[in-house]
Amino acid sequence: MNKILSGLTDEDPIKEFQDTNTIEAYEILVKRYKDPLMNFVYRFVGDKDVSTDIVQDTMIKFYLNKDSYKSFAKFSTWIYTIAGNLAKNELKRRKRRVILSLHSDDEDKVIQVADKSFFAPDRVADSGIKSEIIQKALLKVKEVYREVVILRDVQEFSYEEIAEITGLSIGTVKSRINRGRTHLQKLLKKIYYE
Amino acid sequence: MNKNLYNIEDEKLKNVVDILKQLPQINTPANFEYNLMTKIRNRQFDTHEEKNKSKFFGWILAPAALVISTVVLFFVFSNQNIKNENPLMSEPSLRLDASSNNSDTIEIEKYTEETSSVSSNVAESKDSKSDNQPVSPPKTEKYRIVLNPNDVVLKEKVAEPPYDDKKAVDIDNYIEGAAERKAAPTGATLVGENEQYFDFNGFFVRQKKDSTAVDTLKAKMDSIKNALKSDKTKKLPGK
Repeated sequence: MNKILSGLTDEDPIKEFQDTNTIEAYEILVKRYKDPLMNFVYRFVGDKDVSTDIVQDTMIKFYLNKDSYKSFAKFSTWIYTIAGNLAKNELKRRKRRVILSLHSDDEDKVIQVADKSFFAPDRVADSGIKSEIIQKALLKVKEVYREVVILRDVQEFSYEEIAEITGLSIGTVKSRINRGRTHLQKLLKKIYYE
Repeated sequence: MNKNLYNIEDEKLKNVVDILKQLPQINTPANFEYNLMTKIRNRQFDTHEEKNKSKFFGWILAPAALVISTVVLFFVFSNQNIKNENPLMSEPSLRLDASSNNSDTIEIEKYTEETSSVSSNVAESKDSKSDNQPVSPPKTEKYRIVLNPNDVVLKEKVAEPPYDDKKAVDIDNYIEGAAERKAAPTGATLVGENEQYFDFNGFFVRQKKDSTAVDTLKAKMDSIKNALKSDKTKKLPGK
């Protein structure tokens, strides 16, 4: 049963899960999407533990609301929409916490791009440091641009799929992607070339 | 046209796209699926969002409750700051003020004694000393003078209370409708006051001045003085 279902597209396991409540069908979809969702949410939020929680919540919401999925839409866009909304809620909550926090010098919550003098050119070549720099620069980009840039350049979705996930028009998606990339380029130039 | 524009921009930003594509894939932890299935089996569907919501409200609930209770207590205690009169220190209100409920009428309570024919006979025989028989108390009737707003003065009879405040009343018998009231214990009479009946209620009744008695006594005292002055009389006047 598992072998049969794992070879199929997303729509078949979800249909099986909706009709017969087969837990194996659900587990197949979880296995398929847990890592891509984790990657997307981590790049968006910047915290691994929080990202794990968000992805778990996404799967739980999928389990509880399986009947709300309609087969005319792609399953991937549906589940990415849930994950994206939960990630946005988390960022909103963080902003509120920063405003309400009594400690003004809460350094854990403030993500800062590292001082450019700290990264020597030879060290920048190190992939671990590089990805850390890029991630930090990415978190500096505005959320509305960041989301679409990640979906396009990291998750490699098409413009149409991104428009479906975010609920925006294709033109808005393209312009936001362009602006996000431009801003990221500026941030990375500062770090790399000065 | 727009498509070309975006392609040009894509060319310029190609290095950024390449950098992003080279980012390493972040995966879920090894026990991710196990934890998820455990939660589903145990029906633990409280999401991270809901937990944070409850935490948030928990954080704000305690201070909000404190503020609300402070405000409530403030209003409660501020209303109790009315000055309470000490009944022992305040002057007693006039009977007129206490009894008048209606601002339109002025009630003046005037107690008048009107004696009956029996008591009038008693008054005539005051001087007689054969008055050792118990004397019934004089009947009192109470009247109220009412001044109406139209300046009409009315004299109203106040209904007698069913009890005699000079006597003790057996309430049980009264409630049961006993016709006769038990004779109250008579008040003690002072020495030399047999002529008049009254109950000793703890307060001495001021006697009216009897001018003839005073004159008599004065005369007696003058005569005694004169007698003492003159050495002729040795015997003191007796009667």
